[in-house]
Amino acid sequence: MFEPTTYALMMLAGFFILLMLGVPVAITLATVGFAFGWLGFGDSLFNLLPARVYGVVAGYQWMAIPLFVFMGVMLEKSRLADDLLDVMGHIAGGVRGGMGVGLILFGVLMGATTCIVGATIITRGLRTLPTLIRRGYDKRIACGAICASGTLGQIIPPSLILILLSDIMQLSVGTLFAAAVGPGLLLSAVYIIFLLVLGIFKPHLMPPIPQAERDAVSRLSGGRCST
Amino acid sequence: MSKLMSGAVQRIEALIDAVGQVTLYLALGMIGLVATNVLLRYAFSFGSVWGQELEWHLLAAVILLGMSYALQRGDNVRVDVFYANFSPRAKFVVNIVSGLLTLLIAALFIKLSMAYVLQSYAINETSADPGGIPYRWAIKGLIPVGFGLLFLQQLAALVRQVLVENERRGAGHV
Repeated sequence: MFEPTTYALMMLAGFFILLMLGVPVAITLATVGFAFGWLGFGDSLFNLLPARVYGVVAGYQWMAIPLFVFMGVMLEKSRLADDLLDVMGHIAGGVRGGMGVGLILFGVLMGATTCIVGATIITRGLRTLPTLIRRGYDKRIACGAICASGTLGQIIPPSLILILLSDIMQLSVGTLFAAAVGPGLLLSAVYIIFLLVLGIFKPHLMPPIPQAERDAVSRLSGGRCST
Repeated sequence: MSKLMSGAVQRIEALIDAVGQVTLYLALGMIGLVATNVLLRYAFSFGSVWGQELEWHLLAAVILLGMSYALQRGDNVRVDVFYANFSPRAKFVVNIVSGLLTLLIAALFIKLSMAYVLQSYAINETSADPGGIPYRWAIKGLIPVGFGLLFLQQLAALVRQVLVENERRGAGHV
C-alpha cells in the first residue's frame, strides 16, 4: 500500500501518540511494532519473534543489572552510603561550597560502585537537603548539586546505560567503559570547578561548615582511632 | 456476578503474587550463584559450564516470571505528562485500552512461541556446549508460561478496573 518509509514515519507518529496518551511504554512499543510490522512485512516476520525473545532473556550481559541493583541495595541498607556522604561533607567542609563538592564526589563514588541511574543517589542526597539549607546554602545550589550528582551514575563506568548500549551498538562493554572514564570524570570536574568558582564570587550562596562542628567530628574520629 | 468475578480476580492475583515471591528468591539465588562461580574460578581455578549456564537460566526465569509480578505492582513505566491531568474517566479509558492491547500482545506471544518450544522439545534440544544443562526446551518453555501469567494478571487487572469504575460511578449517582 505505502512505501516502507511512509510506514516508518507513521510508526514513529503512532508511537509518540500512544506514549503521550499515557499507555505504558512496553505496551506502546509492542503494539506499534506488531501493527506496523504486520502492515509492512506480513505474517512471516513474526516467526522469528520467539528466537528474539529467547535471545534477549538468555543474554549474558543483562546479568549485570540485578547484580548492580543488589549492590546498590546493600550499600543503602548497610548505611555505608550515609556515612560516606557525611565524611565527604566534613572533609570538604572548610571550603566555601565544600558540602556541594562533597555531594558531587559522593555521586562519583556511588556512580562507580552501584551504577544505578539517579534514583538511589538522589534519594540519599535529598536527605542532606535540610542540612544544606540549615547551613545557609542557597536552595537552588543545593537542589542542583543533588540532582547533578545523581546523574553521574549513568556516565561513570561501570554504568548500566553503557551495558545496555553495548548490545545495541555491537561494541564490547569494556570498550565503552574505557571510553566513558574521561568524559565522566571531566563532567564531575566541571561540576566541582563551577561550585568552587561560584563559592569565590558569591560566597553567601554556600557558606562553609562552622569550624566548631568540624572539630567535633575530627575529635570523635581521632578518639576512635586511638582505642 | 460481581462477587464471583472479584473472587476470581483475587485468586489470580494471589497466584501472581506467589510466583513473584518465588522469583524474588530466584534472583537472590542467581546472585549467590554468580558470586560462587566467580570465587571458584578465580580463587580455586575451578569452573563448570553447567554452573555458568544455570546463571542465565535463572536470569531468564527471573525476567519471564517476574513480568506479571511487575505488572501487578504497577511498575510499568509510562509518560504521564498529559495522563496526570486527565479526568478519572479518561484515565479509565486509557487503562482499558492499554489492558486490552496487553492481552492481545500476550496472546500473540503465546501463539507464536508455542511452535518454537514444541520444536525444541521434539528434537530434545540440549545445550550447545559440552557439559551444559540438557533441558534447553524447559527454559524456552518459560516464554509461553511467562506471557500466560502476564495474560492472566492483565485480565484480573482489567476486571478489577471495571469493578472499581462501576463503583465510582455508582457512588457518583447517589
